[in-house]
Amino acid sequence: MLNLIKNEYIKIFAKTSMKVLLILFFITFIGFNILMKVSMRDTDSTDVEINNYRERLYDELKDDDKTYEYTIDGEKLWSVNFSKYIKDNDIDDEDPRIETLGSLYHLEKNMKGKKYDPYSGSGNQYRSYLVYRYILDNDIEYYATDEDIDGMSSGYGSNDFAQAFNMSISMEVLFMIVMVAIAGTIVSSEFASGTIKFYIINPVTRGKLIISKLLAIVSLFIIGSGVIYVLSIPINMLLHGTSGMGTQVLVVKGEDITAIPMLIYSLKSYGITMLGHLIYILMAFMLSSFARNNALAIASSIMLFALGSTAVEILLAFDQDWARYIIFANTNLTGIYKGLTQFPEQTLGFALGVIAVHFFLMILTAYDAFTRREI
Amino acid sequence: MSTETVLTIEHLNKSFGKKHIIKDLSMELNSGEVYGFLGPNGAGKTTTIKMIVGLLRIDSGSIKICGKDLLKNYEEAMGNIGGIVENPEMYKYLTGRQNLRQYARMRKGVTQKRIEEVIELVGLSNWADKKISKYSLGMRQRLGIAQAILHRPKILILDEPTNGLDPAGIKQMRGILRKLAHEEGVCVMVSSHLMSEMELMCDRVAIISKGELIEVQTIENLVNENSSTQQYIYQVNDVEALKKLLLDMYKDNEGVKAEQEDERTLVLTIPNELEKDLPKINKAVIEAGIELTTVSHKAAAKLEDAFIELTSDEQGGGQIA
Ligand SMILES: Nc1ncnc2c1ncn2[C@@H]1O[C@H](COP(=O)(O)OP(=O)(O)O)[C@@H](O)[C@H]1O
Ligand SMILES: [Mg+2]
Repeated sequence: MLNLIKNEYIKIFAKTSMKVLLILFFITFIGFNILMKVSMRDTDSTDVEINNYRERLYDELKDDDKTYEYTIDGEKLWSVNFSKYIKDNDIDDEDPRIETLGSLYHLEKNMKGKKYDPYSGSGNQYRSYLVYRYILDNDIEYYATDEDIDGMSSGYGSNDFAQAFNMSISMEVLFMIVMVAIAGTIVSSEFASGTIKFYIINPVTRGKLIISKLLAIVSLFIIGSGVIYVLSIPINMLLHGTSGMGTQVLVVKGEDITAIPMLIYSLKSYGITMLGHLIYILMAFMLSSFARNNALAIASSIMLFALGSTAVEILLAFDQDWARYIIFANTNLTGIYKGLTQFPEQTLGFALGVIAVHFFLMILTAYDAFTRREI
Repeated sequence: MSTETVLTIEHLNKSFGKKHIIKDLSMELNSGEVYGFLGPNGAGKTTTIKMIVGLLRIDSGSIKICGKDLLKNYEEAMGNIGGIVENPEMYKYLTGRQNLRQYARMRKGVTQKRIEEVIELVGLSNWADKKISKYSLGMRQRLGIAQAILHRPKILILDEPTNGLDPAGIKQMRGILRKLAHEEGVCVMVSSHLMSEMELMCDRVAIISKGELIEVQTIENLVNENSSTQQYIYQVNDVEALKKLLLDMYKDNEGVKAEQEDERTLVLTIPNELEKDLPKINKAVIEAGIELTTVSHKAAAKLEDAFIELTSDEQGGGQIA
């Protein structure tokens, strides 16, 4: 089986069109990272600016002798005297904790008389309060929240590295399209070029042949995506400095906060995104196994990628509850995990189940079509 | 080298839709022979071969390869088969050697040395590192053979292997195939719609027409049994004189014909039973003072007649190029 997979890899990489596609992808990938750096420089704060900002906050806080009370739903959470806090904790005017204190200081006015509303998104002050307190108490320098990383808020916490890195790994979606092109031709090109005959006339069952092609596709997708992830680390360290490497992602669940190193947290959401993208690759693979036409499989998978979720939304607008069983209603696994679902009671388990059933059916269809096809 | 039956086909049937294409076909092929599979275009040669090599499903009947049932024991059965069906299409973006490596990885016991050996055998040593996109049809055909014999199969199946080859290429191919069969004991099955080709290459010929096996014969039997006359080609200095002499000798026998082909060539047609007269005829020619350059037996034409006779129908004859 390993030999068969090796054969597929050789065939994929020997094609000139594939080399061009991969070089183009690589250029785009590097270019995108550089472009991001250039556009960030405009908004980047220089060290001098940061220090000025910290100094101003410091001056403001050390003279404020008032004691502030933080309450939610009428319940008292914390009371603090900022000038005393600064003195007690030996904070000077260059300490990064000044910024967090500043944020808490401004938050107090906004929180007054507010009720706790977990669904108000990033505007939820209670959530912000919890995050700032956690940062302050645990002395975290670089942070991002889970919503930042999962693309549900526009901020990226306190540094460029986290944002740039997560944008960089989002290029995986382009790689997925390259993979759709490979998967969409891996079977049909054997027919189109006539090589299918020498390919079949071998002491290997057709079942093994089609499975080896499937494994080649899936493994290549995993390896390629892995390379994108790993490469994004040194590239962004080079462009944005190494300090952001230690960024902690604060995952807020109810009133509990857990800090997870960003590179680990991002890997988890990356994997979930890949699982969603695998759908389109498998779809192209399936179509390729019974199409004689190369372009058909690629075009239809990309069209489904573009239109699938829109179709679900239209069905949803017409109260068609059965649409929950459509695979495109279940691809946003990160959102579903956090409870932001389109359909009532759409759990993560349900979504994974729907995806698993679809994967199984697509692979079965490809297997069946290929093993029974007359050549 | 002892012969054994390596390919057994029994009551094979195949339909495309409602069209019954292969009708109850049974054959036995032996090791060490070149077996011709002859029939006009559309007779079902390719369809039969495709079923033997696993490209098409079998409707009913069985195929046994070295005792292994093709359907029940697919990988073992296929391990004994190599073949080319229709055009030899290779991966154009790979070199000849890279293509062979692809197949080597799919088969058992093919060493690097064996790859070099087959490249040498088909005479592609200078081309092995060039991409297939640069190959001519003849070169692809030869690489196809290299691919087919890579794993030393007991059965080599070639569908119209001389298509697109020039005369020198055909001769070379013939040599390779006969050597494989007679020296290495391979069973070589070759399909063709060309009678003349079969005669030079094969030991036995199966004739198929409209999906039915008509008969299986050794080449000699086929010629002799199915033809009541023989033809001889005379190269002489005076065709007119020869013609007069021959017609005088056999003026009572209507089966004898003498036809002038060109100013130096005459074709003599005589019934089988008069073949023994040949020395007598030749002696008479010399005695009459005619300069005789050569006499040759025109067998191919005879075989072709036999073939047309066997495969023709009331609409007007088998199709031969
Ligand atoms: N895939 C197919 N579908 C329908 N008919 C076919 C198919 N392949 C071959 N045929 C028909 O089967 C007959 C035999 O074809 P083939 O085996 O290619 O003949 P040969 O190789 O002897 O020239 C022809 O009449 C052809 O039209
Ligand atoms: Mg044919």
